[in-house]
Amino acid sequence: MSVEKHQFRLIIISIILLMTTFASIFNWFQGLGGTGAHADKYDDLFTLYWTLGTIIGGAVYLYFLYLLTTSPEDNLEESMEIGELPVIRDNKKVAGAITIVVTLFLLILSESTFDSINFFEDPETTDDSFTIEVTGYQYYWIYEYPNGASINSATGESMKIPVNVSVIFEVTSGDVFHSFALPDHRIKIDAIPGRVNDGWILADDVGIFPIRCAELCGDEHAIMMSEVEVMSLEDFSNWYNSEENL
Amino acid sequence: MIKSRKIVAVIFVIGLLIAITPQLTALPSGISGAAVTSGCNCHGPVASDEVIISIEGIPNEFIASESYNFTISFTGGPEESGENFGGFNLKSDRGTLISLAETVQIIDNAATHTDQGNNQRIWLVQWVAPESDKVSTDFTLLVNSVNGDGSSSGDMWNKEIFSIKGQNAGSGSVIDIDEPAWITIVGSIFAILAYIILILYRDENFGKKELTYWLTTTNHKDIGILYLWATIFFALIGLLLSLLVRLQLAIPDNDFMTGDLFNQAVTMHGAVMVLFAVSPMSFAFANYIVPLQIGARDMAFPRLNALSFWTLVLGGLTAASGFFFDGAADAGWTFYSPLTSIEYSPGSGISLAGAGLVLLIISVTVSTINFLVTIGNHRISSMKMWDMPMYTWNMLFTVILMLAVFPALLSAVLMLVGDRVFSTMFFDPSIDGTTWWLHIFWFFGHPEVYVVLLPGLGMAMEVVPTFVRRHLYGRNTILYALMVASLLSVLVWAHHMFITGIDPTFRKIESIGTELISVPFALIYLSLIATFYKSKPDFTKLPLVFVMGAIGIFLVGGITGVYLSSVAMDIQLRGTYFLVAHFHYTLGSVAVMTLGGIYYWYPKIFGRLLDEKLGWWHFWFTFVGINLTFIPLFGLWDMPRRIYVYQESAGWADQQLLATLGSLIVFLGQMIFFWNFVRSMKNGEKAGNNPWNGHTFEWLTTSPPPRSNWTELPIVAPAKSSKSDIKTEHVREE
Repeated sequence: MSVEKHQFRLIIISIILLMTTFASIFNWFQGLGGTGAHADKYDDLFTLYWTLGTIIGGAVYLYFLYLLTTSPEDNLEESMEIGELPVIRDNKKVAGAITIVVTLFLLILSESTFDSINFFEDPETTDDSFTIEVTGYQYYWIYEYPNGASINSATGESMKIPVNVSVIFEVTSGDVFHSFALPDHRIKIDAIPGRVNDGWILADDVGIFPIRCAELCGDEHAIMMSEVEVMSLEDFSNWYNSEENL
Repeated sequence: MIKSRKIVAVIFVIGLLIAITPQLTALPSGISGAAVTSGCNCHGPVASDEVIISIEGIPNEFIASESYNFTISFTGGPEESGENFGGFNLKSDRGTLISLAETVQIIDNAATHTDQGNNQRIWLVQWVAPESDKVSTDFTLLVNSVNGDGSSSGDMWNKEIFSIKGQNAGSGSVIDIDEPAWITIVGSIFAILAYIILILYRDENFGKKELTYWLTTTNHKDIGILYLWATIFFALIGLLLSLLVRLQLAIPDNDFMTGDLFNQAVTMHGAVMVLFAVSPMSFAFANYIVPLQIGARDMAFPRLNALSFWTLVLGGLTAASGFFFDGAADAGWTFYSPLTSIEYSPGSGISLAGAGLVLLIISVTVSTINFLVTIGNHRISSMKMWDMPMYTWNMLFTVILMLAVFPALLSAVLMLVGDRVFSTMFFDPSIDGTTWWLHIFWFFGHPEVYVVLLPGLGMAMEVVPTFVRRHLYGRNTILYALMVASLLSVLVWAHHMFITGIDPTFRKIESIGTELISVPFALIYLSLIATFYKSKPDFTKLPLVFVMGAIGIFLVGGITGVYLSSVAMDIQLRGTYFLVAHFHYTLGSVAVMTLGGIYYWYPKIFGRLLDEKLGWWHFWFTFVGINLTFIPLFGLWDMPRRIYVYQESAGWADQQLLATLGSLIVFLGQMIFFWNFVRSMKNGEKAGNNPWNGHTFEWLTTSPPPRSNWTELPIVAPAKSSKSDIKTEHVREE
């Protein structure tokens, strides 16, 4: 009797947990949403991975449950004396089929991955596009604009970029390893001393979004926070051409 | 006996020397970092002792809601000349700061100078004490001594941290938890004392003779038991550290720990758990079980075996000893350069961790050689290599991987310690030393995950057939899959560096390679569960229950691993709590498998069964706790990991609180287990030779086995034909 009780509990709890996990992953992701050109691509990619992952995970789990719950009347108990060699049961065809199926799934996923990563790697620039040089320090960022304007995040001032114009970041570090992350725009670029890494965004919503440091950079890593202010083109050019920046 | 005692003495002296060396050369602990608060920018990278700060008007104890006037001034640094030659910033975590003059302004409850106040080096600030006098208040004061030439070169700054106690602080029921360091230290001392008592508890007549015996033993079973105790001890330390981390993050804006202490806890949790607890715990069982499974009388090199054990213990203690000096390593267990350089981490913690790692690597290398020779040469003659039990096979893959990748870690750590102690320039940022560290560290770091995983899988592959009463399905497929997975694992290190600016084509190759690792693991996983086909598993047996739990957890870890292997997805998910949840799901499942292994082999090692009722409680606490901890963390895909404080507005509080609750449940479960473990040694039900009806050789001999394992050597018998309806294939050629 206790056998079935324990079995029952185990099965119910594991199903609930599995469902909760995948549902929460999906829910938390979609609920927060992203903004900008990267986010659209990215969220599609996530949905694809999530869907395939959940289908495969669910199928494997259901198969396992099916094996566990099939009637034990015709159970195939084997002789297992100490020192007796194991019976080798290999089904090369099944193994080959699984290998091919899994590889195919992965190739489909890789195809979409490469589609996205190629998009992330090649900035879609226009005449308005410009480059911001970002330098990380313990524990603030310096943003330098082509016209010499410079913003220090330690003063509490946010980085300013125009909406609907692609902006390229050239990221480096002045001391230790940082990582320049804009979670809402789905981009993260490592700030490594002695190297310049680049990335780009095309913001399509006006507003203020967080910038975080995503690599442990010292005691106050947690407070290395900043913001990006996405402005309308007009507001941006007013600010950019204002006297203090010239 | 005399010789082995000498070995122990020599190791001890070497360990002590290595532990002391960094103490002699390390600089005194300095203030790393700079002011990033409003009105006060960084002037130079390091705080300068030349700037002498003075504050007048600090009371010894404050009275609730009372006002105090502080006069802040400083001397030293560059001459007072030009413009803007002085600045300050004062922050308090409680109470209110008020400006009394035009020279001081308040921004975000921090006092700082105004433009008018920039040309002086003395300021007046008022502080109104908080309403409760049962708490202490911490202040951080930063001053800038500027040379007034308009640039930041030649400027100096300094920092002072002081605290004022409330009148009734410390008395009464409110515990002053401003010094978690003391909690750690006192806790560790208690843990060590309790530990020694517990070890002695196993024999009531324990005396000097027994102590000498355990210190000098070279028998593989004794060493296995020592390994088990030592790794359980390290695992408990790791668990306590994770609990500190979880408590700090439970609520937003928590001030339980400072950033420095938090980083130490995070770093040492990772390093201790991965390198000194889970990974050597496989050696605990391997030492005990592998010689028994292959019918050997001992390991090939018993004394080297003792050497590996004692260097491991010394290494672990050396690495963690930083807590008792000026702070343990605090740069993350991945030790990313240049945060680990002497410039940014002047304390001795990282040098100590480096010394500890060198000892660990010595231990591991000696062990791997020992296992390779034992498995290769000490099998009984009737056992062909291909017939070895699955646990032995998995250990073989593990030690081969270890031998392949630990030298990379050794070279990395030696270069790091060289940089810190002898000012070599291996990881100099100007020659791209940062990326160099990443490559060499992850060449070790990625296969290390498989080093941790394979022994756990091996245990699962022993436990499942025993309780399902069916031989493992697809044994050969699993073995080939393990070979492929081991090979692939040393080729895909760069997926940890997708956004560091490596070549775009290279990172695509690495992305595909990483995804392909899921092919062999899919085969292994499916073979493992296909073993259940038309079987009658006995779910009352705890080892099987734990392995079942681990199989469930591993699936989630594996699938989220595919998300992370995609280079495009990884850009967003890396360095966040999504990643943390993913690898705790994989490594957590290994931990649960290992627990299953402990339940499985405990009767063989100690001759008695673990208590079943406590075991069930342990299982439910662990299984529910792990899931409750890490499911919510998947939701924090935009929260950077390793941050010690977050704001309520970020919206991360609920998930963090749930995770903390989960980790408390896991902790309680492990306490139940520990109690069960110790209690059952004396009071458990007698096990007999073969309590589980197992079919490998270790179940043939008595529990615990005699000193030389066998009264009569075991013999391998050919496989009997099975009643199976699946086509069978006999690979053995005889």
